[in-house]
Amino acid sequence: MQRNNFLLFSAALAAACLFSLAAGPAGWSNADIILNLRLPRTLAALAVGAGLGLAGALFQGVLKNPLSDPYILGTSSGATAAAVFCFLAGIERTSPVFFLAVFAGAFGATFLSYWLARLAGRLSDAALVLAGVAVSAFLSALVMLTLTSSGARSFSLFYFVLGGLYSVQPGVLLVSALLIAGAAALAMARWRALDAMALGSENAYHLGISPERERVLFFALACASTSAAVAIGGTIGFVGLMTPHIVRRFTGPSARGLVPAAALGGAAMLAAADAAGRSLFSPAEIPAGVVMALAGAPFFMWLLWKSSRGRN
Amino acid sequence: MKHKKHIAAYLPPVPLLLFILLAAAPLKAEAKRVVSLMPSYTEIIFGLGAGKDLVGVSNFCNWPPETAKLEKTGDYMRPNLEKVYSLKPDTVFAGAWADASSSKQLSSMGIKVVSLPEEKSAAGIFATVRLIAAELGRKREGEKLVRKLTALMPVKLPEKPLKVYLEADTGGWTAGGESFLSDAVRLAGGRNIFAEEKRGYFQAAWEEVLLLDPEAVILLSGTEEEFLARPMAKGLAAARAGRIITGLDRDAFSRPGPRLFTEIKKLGGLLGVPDAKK
Repeated sequence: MQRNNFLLFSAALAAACLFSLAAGPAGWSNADIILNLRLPRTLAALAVGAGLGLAGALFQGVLKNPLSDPYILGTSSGATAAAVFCFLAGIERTSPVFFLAVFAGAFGATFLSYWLARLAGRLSDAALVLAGVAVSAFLSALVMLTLTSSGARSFSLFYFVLGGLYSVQPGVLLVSALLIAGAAALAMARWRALDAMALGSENAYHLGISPERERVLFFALACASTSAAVAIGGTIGFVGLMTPHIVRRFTGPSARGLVPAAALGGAAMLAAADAAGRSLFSPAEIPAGVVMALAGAPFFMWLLWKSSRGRN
Repeated sequence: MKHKKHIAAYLPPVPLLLFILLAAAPLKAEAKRVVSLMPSYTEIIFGLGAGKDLVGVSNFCNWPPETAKLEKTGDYMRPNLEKVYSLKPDTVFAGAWADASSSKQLSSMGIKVVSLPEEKSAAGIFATVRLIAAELGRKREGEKLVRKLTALMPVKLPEKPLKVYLEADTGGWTAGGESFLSDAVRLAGGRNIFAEEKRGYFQAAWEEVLLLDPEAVILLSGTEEEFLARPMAKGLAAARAGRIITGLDRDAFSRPGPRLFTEIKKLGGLLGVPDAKK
């Protein structure tokens, strides 16, 4: 990442953090509330945002598809479905089984979308999005069916599915943050492979990179990062879609700058969105997932419009 | 002639009497067939002693135990219309939550749908009791039930009620002044910290709860341990006074029905409101 860009992203991140720490009905003079309430929540928003931004950048790079992100591809839905089944089975959010199950759900759903899109032969943007939508819709329906028929605790689980950061368990935050940091470090170390993948499978192969192996690896990293984010905040969409597009304008297409910038940008974006959600309609709170969908869905439409114009 | 006239003089009352008997006969012989789409209505109907009239209830109706044997008609927002129709009810009680189009569809099938307004206070609940009682021809039982429920409420409320935060569902879902739950808290001798909010149910920001510093917390879901694990929860006046109340019956307290008043009495005891009748 260039020095100027690094400063820019740091400034954006710092501004989002300040907003998140200062926004709220108690104002900004109550040190107790800032330290004990807003700080943990800001950290959670940063971790989730970074995880989703990272996953978005990895998916978009490895699939060469500007419309992909963990929400569109079904990764988040897979993770959410697995998490909901874990809650109903009584598996604690801090247990390793929970993280493994959520990861398996995310990875399974992503591969299913990918496999479905490839059935048509050449992997097209539209096929991938369609396959992702189909997988997401099916998994969401499964979750809704489970919640409707289970009855117990279903309201708080609906809230989880909606996505938000109302109550964050410190243990979950710690484990998830470590997972996301690990995935980010591994992805950054392999930026060359990601850049080679962007040139197409054949070119990557000639550059001495095995596209099949790298694809599985980057999928795994993106899924680990997504599932860690879902474990904290449920299904929050569009962070992974928007941030890579925004930061790419500053960093250029190389994964070397793009991947860390997407993580930082995602962190800043979600911290700001969450702070807005909990302070704008006080005393009521709007879940961060809803704020992101409000901002992100029009962005997605704009991307579709842009990509359709690019083709003509 | 004299004799004939004598009979004729008695003729008109005979058909009248017959007519009255005939008209009254179906009321006596054929019981009403009622479907209730809200758990609170079901409990009210049983409270009026009309439980036998019920032929169908919503999937959420689980009280009294007799409801287990009744046909279920789906949830109250979108009842299963075919199921309702197949039960051949002559009256369906639908709540404010029900989808307006399903009420219309039922009406167009020739079923009488009684849409009752949402209860926003104890008075609203009494109004519902009276409306249902009138509809079922049990006005006297209705007044009796209202008197019985009124007797459960404290006569004198404390001058300085405790500030109460009520969490209906984990994640900060609480009731504003437009909800009967706010009134229930008031009648139990407390004061809902969000009583001034002009809405029914909403998700309150945790920071706002911390700022309003309730002296008692009512949890209808989740445990005290989970609640106290939230940031700064241990510093709340309610936590310091040990007034995190988890012992209320969730169903009974969250339905605007007869059982709410027993819970209000129980809550009054937990909030330390002296029983005014002593």
